[in-house]
Amino acid sequence: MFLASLRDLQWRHRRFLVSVGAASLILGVSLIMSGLADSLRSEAEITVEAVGADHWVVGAGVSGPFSSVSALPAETASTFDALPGVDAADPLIVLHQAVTDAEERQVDVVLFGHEIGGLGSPPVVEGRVVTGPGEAVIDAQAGIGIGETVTAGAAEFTIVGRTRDLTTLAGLPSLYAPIGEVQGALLGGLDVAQAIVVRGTPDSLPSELAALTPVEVVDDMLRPLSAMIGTVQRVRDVLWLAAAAIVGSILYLAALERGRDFAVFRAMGFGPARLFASLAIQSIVISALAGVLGIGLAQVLVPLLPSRLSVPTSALAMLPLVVIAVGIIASAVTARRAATTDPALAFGGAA
Amino acid sequence: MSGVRVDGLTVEFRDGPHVVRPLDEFSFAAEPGQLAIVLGPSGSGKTTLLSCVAGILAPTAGAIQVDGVRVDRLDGEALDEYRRRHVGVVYQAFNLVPSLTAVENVAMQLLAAGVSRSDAMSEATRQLEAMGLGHRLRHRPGSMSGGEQQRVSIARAVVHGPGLVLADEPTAHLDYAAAEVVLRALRTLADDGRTVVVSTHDSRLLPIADTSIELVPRAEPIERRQEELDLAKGELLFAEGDPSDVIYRLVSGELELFRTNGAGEEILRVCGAGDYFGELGPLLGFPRSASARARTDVTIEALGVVEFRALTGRTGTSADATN
Repeated sequence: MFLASLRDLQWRHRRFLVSVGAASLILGVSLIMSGLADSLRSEAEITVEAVGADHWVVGAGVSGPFSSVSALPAETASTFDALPGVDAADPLIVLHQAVTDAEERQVDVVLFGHEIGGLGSPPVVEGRVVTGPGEAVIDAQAGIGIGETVTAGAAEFTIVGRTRDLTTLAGLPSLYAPIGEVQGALLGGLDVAQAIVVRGTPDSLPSELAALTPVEVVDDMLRPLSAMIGTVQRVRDVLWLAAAAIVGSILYLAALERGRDFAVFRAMGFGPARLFASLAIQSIVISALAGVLGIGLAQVLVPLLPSRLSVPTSALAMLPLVVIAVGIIASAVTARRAATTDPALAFGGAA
Repeated sequence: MSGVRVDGLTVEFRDGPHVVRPLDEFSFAAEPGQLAIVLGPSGSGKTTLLSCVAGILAPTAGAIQVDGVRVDRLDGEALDEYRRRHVGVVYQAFNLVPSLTAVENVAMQLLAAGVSRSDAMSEATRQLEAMGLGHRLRHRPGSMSGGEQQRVSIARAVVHGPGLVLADEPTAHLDYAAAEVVLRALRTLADDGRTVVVSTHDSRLLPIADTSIELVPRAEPIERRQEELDLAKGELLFAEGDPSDVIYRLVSGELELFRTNGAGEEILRVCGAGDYFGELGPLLGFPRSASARARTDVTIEALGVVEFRALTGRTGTSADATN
């Protein structure tokens, strides 16, 4: 039956190409949706990793430094240095803040207040790290150059270095400044921190504190986006079903025209399973072509999008399974119709 | 036994509220090497008969034996196996798959039987060359004449070496020249030792047959004297499916025409004195399509077709005709 399936694809190639084109567009957009969901997580992972901590210590019961405000005395960090298993510990402040640049433009950032030369000071791709008061490092996403100044509350910082890809919450640039000035300008001079970032693994912690792993911190950062990420993933699932519907409807229309063919095949002795398989193969071939085109389409479209994202390898690896599933779902109704065709239909009079 | 043997074959199906019985206790036999022609008008059950013998329509009752296999008892995979190996079918409408070339259409029958693709293509090529279609192997049905398509259909029907070949009105869509080629091919298949059963409404094919079966005995217009019959209330004049030979006129009393269906009887018409009924069957050679029963004591006049025409001046049928 593979021969008949192949020939039918060639015979009705125009309509199948239309089906491939429409399904590829949908599969391509679904890949972009996967990329969108994935890029939010990878963005968070890169930003958390840039802090350079193995653990983030917060108050017990606190969900994390990004989703909850819970101040710890900054001096707590100094007590950690003596704890077994701890190589380094520094206080860190994380604040969502709108800063003003030299052109009086307000720029939303996530402000990291860190010890100069301590944990939380990120690697830069341009310029240098913060070495003294009044200096800051900002991500290139903010569009602010080295030597320019930004104002956060009462404090003014000169940009001395720039990072790349250190953003949060779908593209919000990170700003890194000395913790003392952040406390002075934005926290009324209170010597507090939202987390003590630790290199190493403390053997034990006081009961009023808890250590979060970087993965837990990433989850904390993404908590406000979890509904959106879930929605994106559901939309992607719906797109897969839409692709199946397109392929399925084209197959079904073709099958309506092939009723006599199926009846003849049944009269020849082809069993229902072979007819079912032939249509499933046809459907999978169409879906596979749509999948390949969809990948190409996604690669073309991604650079044109304003958000920084890429199609994740996991999504590409999953696509063959998706394509097979789409193919089988798409062929199910049609194959059932073909498999149950009454062979007596072959005895019709019309030529 | 070898060949095909059909005993007491009955096929019933519902058509709306009616039960239709295109075949009623039908029997026939054909031996290997014989070309049997099943002759009958449209609607007489020829295609139904061939469908049953081909194993693609289950009869209501009766037995079908092909080369010793009780086809009417097969189902599922066994029935598919019968279709794959024991029988080949030539269809009135050719039924070639339009997307496949001639050789691929023929090869499909072998592929159904599990033959490898290369062997199937080789054998299909050989078969088509034997049919004089070696130059049309790669052509699709749409670019072939009706006669060529029917020869491809015949090649497909025999490529797997079945003992029985069924042909349903194989010349219906062909001109006389193409029909002659097709009939010669079918004759050759029988001469090679196969059992070939051809259904047709065309009695001109009879000379090529070794045996013929008339599904509905033709009702030749007969001359018979006008005669009167008396029936008591409730008595049946004729039953659905009976052969038709005469036309009736009700002289006195009331008579009803009815059909039996799953829910009981459906009265089609009540005739009164002076009404004619039962004209279509004798005029067209169809069996009775309904039963006639006296509602009261009745007197009926029976007429032959010739007599009826002479009497009424009709060449056709009455508007409320029921055969």
